[in-house]
Amino acid sequence: MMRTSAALLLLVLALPAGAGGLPQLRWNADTAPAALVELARASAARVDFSRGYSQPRLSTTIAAGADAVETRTTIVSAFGDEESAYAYGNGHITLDVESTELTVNAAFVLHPDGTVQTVARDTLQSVDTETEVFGDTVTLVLPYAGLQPGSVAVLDFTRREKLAGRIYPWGRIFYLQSSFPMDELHVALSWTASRPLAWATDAERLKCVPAELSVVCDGGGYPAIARDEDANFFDLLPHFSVAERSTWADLHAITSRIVDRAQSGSARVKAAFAGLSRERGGTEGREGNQPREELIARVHGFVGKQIRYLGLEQGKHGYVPHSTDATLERRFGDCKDMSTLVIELLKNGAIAARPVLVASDFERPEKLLIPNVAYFDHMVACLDGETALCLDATDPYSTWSSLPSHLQGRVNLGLASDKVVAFPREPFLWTLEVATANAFAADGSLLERQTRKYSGSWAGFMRGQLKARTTDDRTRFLIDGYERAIGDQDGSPEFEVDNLDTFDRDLVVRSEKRYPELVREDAALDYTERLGWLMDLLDEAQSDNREYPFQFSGLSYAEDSTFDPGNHWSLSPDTVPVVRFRSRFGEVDRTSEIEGGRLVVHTAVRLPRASIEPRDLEAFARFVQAVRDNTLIQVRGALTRPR
Amino acid sequence: VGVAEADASGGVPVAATTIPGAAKPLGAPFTLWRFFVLVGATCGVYLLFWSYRIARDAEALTGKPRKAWAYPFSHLFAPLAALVVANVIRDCDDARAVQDPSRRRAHAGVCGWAYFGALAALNVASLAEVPLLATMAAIVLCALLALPAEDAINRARLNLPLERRQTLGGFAPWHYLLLVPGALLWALIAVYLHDSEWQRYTGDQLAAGQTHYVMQEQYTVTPPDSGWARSAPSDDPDVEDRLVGPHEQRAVFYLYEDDSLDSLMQSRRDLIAEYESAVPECRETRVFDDVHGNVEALLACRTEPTFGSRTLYTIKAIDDGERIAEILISTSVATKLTEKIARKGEALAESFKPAS
Repeated sequence: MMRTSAALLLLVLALPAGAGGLPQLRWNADTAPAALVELARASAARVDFSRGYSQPRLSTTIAAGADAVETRTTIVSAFGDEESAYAYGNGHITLDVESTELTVNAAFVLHPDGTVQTVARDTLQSVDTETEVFGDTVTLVLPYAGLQPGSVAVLDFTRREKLAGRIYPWGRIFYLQSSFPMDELHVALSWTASRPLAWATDAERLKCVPAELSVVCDGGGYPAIARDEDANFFDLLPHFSVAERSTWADLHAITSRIVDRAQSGSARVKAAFAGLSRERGGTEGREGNQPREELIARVHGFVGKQIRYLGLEQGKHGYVPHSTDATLERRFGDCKDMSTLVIELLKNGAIAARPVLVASDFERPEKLLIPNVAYFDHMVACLDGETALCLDATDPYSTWSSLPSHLQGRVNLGLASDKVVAFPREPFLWTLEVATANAFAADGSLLERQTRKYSGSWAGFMRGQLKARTTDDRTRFLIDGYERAIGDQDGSPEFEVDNLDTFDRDLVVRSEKRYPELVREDAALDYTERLGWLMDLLDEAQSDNREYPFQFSGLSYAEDSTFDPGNHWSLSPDTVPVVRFRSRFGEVDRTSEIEGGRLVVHTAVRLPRASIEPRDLEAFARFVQAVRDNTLIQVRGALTRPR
Repeated sequence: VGVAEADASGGVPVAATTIPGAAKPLGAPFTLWRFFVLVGATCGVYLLFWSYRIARDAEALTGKPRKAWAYPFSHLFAPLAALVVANVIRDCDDARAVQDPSRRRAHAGVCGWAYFGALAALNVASLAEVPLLATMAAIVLCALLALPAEDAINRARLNLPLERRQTLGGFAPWHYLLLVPGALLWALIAVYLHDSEWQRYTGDQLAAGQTHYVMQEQYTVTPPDSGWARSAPSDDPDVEDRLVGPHEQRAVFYLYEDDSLDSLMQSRRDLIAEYESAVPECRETRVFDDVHGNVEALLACRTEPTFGSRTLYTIKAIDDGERIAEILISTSVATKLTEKIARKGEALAESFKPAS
């Protein structure tokens, strides 16, 4: 329901909606058609098996009629080694079982010795692979039998999708590049004048020849995509988009309409709102007359915490939210259900909000080539009149006043009703302020008191991490984080967490720990430490990308470190270098001073959000490493007689 | 709180690293006022020390063993030479008086001047050991010239009436006053010798304001003022280049592999503190060179004033992530000139950049 994983790329086709369970299908694949066997032989003769797994040919023919769209897909797969058979040894067909009739025309393997082995129907598996908000899809898994290096598999199937009763116009996306080489691509569309299709592609290697009611595209020669981990592939891969002709405004109007209809106005909803109104929370709140912001926070918190997220859409509810009354009664729902409930509760408080569709996979609006609902996989509720002030009740731990991190920069339909735009981004996703007070004692021990303040969307993320754990696990989580950043010597610190349940405030973690015998009490003070939390945070600024830009989320870090030598030492001045880094990637400032006999070190690091091009990644990594290398604080002092 | 770190990288080999200024800089030819004051104040003893230091510094500069003892030893001959020359002058004068008592002119002083002139000519074209030989040769020469004259004078003296003999060979202060400009000339010659010898070992000066390659042409510096020259190579494998400059400055370039900036700069602080009696005042700033991706550390330390002068240390280290290039500038400078000279040193350090 939320972000689609990159593993989805293995499925070249992005597919529509349906209902759970083994899909109804027509199985015509007990024998291998001669024409397809010949296609397999021709592919085997010319494919380069040294590449491991590849697809010598992918063909899709779409014929849109007055009441249905029929799509025939032929996938030829070549297996060059055992590893490719292990990784890609199954054929996959994803379909919306609610609206789709599936016919498997052929599923077989041509072995290197020329023999043909068909897929046995009784080996088929059905897997619920729900990845999209608008649909109820399952994936049919067809295990190829007898695979060996040199085998070629052919999967040929036809999906017939009914157009009647669809909430949104029919639409489909085909990705034309994947994690393996794709040699030949063929896409053919045809439609009727009464239900015209719109199509578009950004694939440079696909040449299309349009006609009045059809288009035929051929191309290919796509190498495997580079396996960069920190890349948004959906923004990078070429694709072919086809949908019934509509406008963005049409899609937004449909969304608004179905959400309006789902708002029940029931007594249950009114009671829920009344309950929220009676709550006494913030200091400014007054019964029945709360500030607007407080009401928003309560509605967000109520839906986020009281309604359990469950993304199992079925039937028409793959597209249409359940009524708010049903959602309240069941106390679970998906993003559509939760957003609809948020909108109605806010409306009861005279706060207008609207549904906004989110294309979580996309950060570039221009990649949404035509109005096509298949791009979207999420829904949130955005306040009218507010720029990108959106509530995502599926992320209950975030503050309503800042956009959750998983939405920032994502393409949406609803902020603007007639076009897709990207949500704004905070310049810094990782925002942390640390205050550390270190006090040396005459026995050589050190007492560290530390306060960490997480702000913005990261506070929501951290809150989610903590709230999702039991008390013991929460402590273990905090200890693990501390030990990773600071160290694990001399036991674990004591922790306190503030504002864990107050979502609209910064999350504060306090810790206290004594380090016995850390320095020699009978010698001059010579102590060094690094800014551990900054070092830990800088891990987020690392990328192994080689081909694609690294989307760095931005880091803002500030720490005030105080070192009190007590009466036992007298600190030496100027032991901490002044740091003043200025780079196109960010800034670092560090100063220090002696105040009242204590050393106070101020550190500020600001690395704004950026898309780092591959050619700049080395320089970026060097800067990050330079920041990391200059986190050392040295404290020196001479022994002095106790006062 | 982090662990009190023990630097696993090993750090800079402090013990093996020398601070140029710690060896005290050469008696520079440009601080004449101090030279003359000290020579006068110590009745010439400083001259012996100064000349010895020239030899020692030259040895350090060139890496070649030198006869350092010869320098002060040669200067010890100066009083002897002066006595001989004064005697010759007096005797020549006496000889003239014998021949023509009415004309007591000191043309014989030319003989002493000739001595200094000969010495100067020899020194300019020769190594520092030569003054010893030249002085000895000049004394012998003057003695050989004087002996016949002495003999003639003695014989003439015997022929004079007794009352006139008493007037000969008497104390004549102006004879000795004649030596004063000669001594000054001699000192100037020695200083010039030093300077010329310095140039001999350091080569041509680096033009001020122009960029010059150092460290196998991987880095550059731009001397902010004239008087900087390249120094001879060093036996220290970490030392890539050396410069000598005005204001008793030395700049040494080091290159370290697999080291950290923190350990290097800390070792520098420790090393300076080790050399100096009082813990110096230091200030360090680090910046990021976005063009080259380097971290640059600039450490400026100054010692407490001692006898009207103090030592400045200016260190710039460039960390490119794989190695650290360093320029270490030491300056011994009069207190009242500290700020001006410090700026010069920092300007040179700041001009230290990667060559690309």
